[in-house]
Amino acid sequence: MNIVELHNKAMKLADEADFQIRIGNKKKAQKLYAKAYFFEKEASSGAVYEHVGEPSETVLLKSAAFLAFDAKLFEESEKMARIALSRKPSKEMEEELNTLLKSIHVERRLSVGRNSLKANEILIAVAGQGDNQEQALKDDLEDRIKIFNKMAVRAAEWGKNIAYRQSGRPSKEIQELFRHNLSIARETPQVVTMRLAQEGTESTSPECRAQVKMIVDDIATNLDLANQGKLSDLFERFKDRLYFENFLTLAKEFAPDGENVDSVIITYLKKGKKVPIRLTRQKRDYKEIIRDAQSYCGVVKKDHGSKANINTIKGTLSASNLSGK
Amino acid sequence: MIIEEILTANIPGISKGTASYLCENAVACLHRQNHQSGVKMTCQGLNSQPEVIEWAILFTNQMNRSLNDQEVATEHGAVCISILYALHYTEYTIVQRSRKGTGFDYWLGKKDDILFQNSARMEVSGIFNGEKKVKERVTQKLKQVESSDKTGFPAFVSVVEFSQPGITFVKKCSV
Repeated sequence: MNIVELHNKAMKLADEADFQIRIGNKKKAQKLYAKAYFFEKEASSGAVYEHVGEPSETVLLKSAAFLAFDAKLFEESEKMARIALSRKPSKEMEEELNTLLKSIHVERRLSVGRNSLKANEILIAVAGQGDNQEQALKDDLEDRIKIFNKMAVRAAEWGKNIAYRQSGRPSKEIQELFRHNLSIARETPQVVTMRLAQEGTESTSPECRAQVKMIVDDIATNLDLANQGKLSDLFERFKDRLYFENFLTLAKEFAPDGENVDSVIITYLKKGKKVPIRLTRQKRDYKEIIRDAQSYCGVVKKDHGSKANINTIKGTLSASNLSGK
Repeated sequence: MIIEEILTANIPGISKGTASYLCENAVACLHRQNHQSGVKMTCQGLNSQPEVIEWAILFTNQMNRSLNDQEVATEHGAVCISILYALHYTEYTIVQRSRKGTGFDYWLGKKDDILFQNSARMEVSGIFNGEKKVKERVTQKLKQVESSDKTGFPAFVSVVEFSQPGITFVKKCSV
């Protein structure tokens, strides 16, 4: 294959991988990205070897670096990004490559930060432009810890079929659940582990452990769906307008701001395996999502801004069906 | 401009499936804004003659469900319209791609050129609903591609708006 054929093959494989992502098949996607990386790496090596000139050589190196990142081949990704940077690319490409290196750095921190994640724990990390300003990112993380606490309380209430609380404090039962049980272990200034049940307390009862596991799983899954904009799936999980809207508002606050924070990464344990979820949908994009959300829960906004409930009844109009209408 | 032309637009390395995906996203955005085939699209930048957009594919419930992330649909719909526009109104004849972030960079080139040589980078942005946001978005995108000038290759900025269909396609000349 020549350079063009190698590159085109890589792009086709990346297309297939993107498609697998869209249908929720992340594992298959990762394999396809790895294949695509292999072809793009060959194309970039060929371009450098044959001195085809700039910007071709750097563009191909950069493209390979991003494909390796998508394939979670972080060492390869870093290697390609550093080679591309050494060629003094345009300022724009330089910025993109530096952002990629920061993301690789965060992924590495996450993978070595906490090898023994437990079912009652969730890892939260922030990454972005503020990487050089540790304090700024630390503050951003603190904000997200507070939001996560709110999500955990709401998830517990929802799990216990408690009607949505418009105001006031959570019930004693819920307060008890979190009184001694929510703790934080700081891995680095940008990474924390939230622990929802302490070892050696009454909260380690099997019932409590199961509840906590469900809360972690719920929050992570719901954040993933909101991040992907899969509102109908998300609403299906809640089946309650008020909880659904409250979750979206909290998800918005949890999301990256696009200034200091480019992405928020949560990692949790599912069926014994660590599942990382990268939240990249920015706060400002949630405006549209929250507006769209109203169509999923039967709420229409009138011109004067008030809300009216619409009850949706699904079924078959048997009489009209029989008459062929 | 016929949206389905993207399927035969000669985009190296883009599968038929992906071309069809881009095409469906453009139709989804136009359909959701209650436009029908034959709608006029205002043009600014390279030319100011309105363009008629036509399509034949039906917007089905299945398409509606699978393209439910409007932000993503807007982005890909804008890519589709921008590619067709670029092939119609620039000297470039093919579109090449390279990987970036979670998507692609689009480059306009000529048929027998070496990969990305003498190419122009195309920065695409979509707005689902907000004619007033176009100017701001163009300025923002022009700032982003400013540094491309230093490398000697030209860059284009394309902003597509779907509520009052319009495209602003601006060339940023190389130094």
